[in-house]
Amino acid sequence: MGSLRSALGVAALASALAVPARAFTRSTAGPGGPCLFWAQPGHSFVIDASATPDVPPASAFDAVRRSFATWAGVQCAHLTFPDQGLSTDPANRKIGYVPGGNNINLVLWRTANCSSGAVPAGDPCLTEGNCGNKYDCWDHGDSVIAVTTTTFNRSTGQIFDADIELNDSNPSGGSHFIFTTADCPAGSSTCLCSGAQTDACAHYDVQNTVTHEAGHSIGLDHTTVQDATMYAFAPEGEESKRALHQDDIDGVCAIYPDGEPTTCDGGAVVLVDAGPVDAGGPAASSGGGCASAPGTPGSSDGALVAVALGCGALLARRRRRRHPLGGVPPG
Amino acid sequence: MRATLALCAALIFAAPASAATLRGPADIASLASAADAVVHGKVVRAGSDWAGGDPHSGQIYTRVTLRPLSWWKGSGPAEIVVLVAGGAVAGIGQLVPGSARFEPGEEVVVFLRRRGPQSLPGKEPPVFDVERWALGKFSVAGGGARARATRDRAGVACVGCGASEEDRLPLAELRAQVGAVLRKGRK
Repeated sequence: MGSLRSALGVAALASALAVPARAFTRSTAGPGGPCLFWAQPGHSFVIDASATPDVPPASAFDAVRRSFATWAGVQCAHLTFPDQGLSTDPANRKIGYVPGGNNINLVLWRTANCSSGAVPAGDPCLTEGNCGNKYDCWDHGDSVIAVTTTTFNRSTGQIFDADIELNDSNPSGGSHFIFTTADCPAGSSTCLCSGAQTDACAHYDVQNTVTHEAGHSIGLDHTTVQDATMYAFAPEGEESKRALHQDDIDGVCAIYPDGEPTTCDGGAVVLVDAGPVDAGGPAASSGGGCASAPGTPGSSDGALVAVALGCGALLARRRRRRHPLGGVPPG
Repeated sequence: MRATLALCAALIFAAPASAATLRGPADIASLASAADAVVHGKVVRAGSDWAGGDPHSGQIYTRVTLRPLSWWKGSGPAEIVVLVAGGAVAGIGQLVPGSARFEPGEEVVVFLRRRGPQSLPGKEPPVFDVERWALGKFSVAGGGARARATRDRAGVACVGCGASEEDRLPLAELRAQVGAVLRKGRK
């Protein structure tokens, strides 16, 4: 019984040492796949100049810039988001990633709705997809407010491109999302506009929304911490996600620690220039862009190692007790 | 010993869940009224490709072929296709968090939205989206009276979803709730 207690103690201690309390979650390349990361910490972005008719364009642009600046301001990380300016070319209003193409990380509002006449009947995009890019319309359903599309190297998790789309379209049967940029009154983090009120109140705050989506663009998924920017739920009129919670900061610093290499599950990312991936993408790491080094505090690998060590110790003790000759089972 | 092993296994294999931002609510009644069709069915196959087979489209979609076991709302052929944003082609993956995920062989209940006025030459199956993305899909496990339907909200950020919305309930209860909405709509 004493050995059971001590082994469980080893597991508990190792786990506690390896995993400070945290809830942030990293996006992965599918179940069991590597986590997603940018090889260079942060990414450039371009804002489509059409913006949203809901607010003056300059205030929408400022709100988007402040969203990225919020993540760039985290002291323990080393993210940069070069602002590549406004795009006025309608040909750029495309989401996704073209292998070998001139890809930009775009933030844009869609004002036409693919389901409300923007797409001709019988168009192949209705059965194959891509109506949004083809007809410059919102193709994600009337309930969706914003979407981040991230393209990455499937085997390493290295992100190539991340685009943020916001739904400013008029659905056929419902009300459209009203984007706002006004600040809530001091001391309030939620200030839903009532009636015709437009000052000091919010509907769908641009900065609140884009700060959350930008967290996805750098490789963070949803957290269970309710006050965090990366929390999955929000009331209309919310602005609290403009500011990062410690959990968001812990998350971004776990991926992009200041002065250290970008990490993947606790291991330093090892980038090896190995030519294009087989679908024609850019140079990517073949030696495991997400190579795992020994676990570090705050990493999920660290947790795994700790728990495995503890459990291994427990099982070894039990085995030794049953099989005194080095655990060799009786033949 | 068994309990200890189970604890260890749970600790080792417990993986954190892996966003689109949607407007709620996402209760069964609102989903059922908004959907063009509600289908209880089985996933036959799922495959990803660039839209139209063209990498210059920039977007990867996963086509999920579903064999309806029963139509709870609407009617249709023996096979339908559900188009889901994201997927993987060769070395490139595309993540559109919040999209519903399907596995071949999986039994599901899906709230579907028809993708516009399609022309369907020959015997092409109709193509649908999932209404409200991952919030419009339930996975079914267990059989007979014990069958339960479960919804995974992992990739979805929801503005205005209610705390009372059910994510796990008996399949029969889910069907009853959908049926109640349809009966109410006919009155």
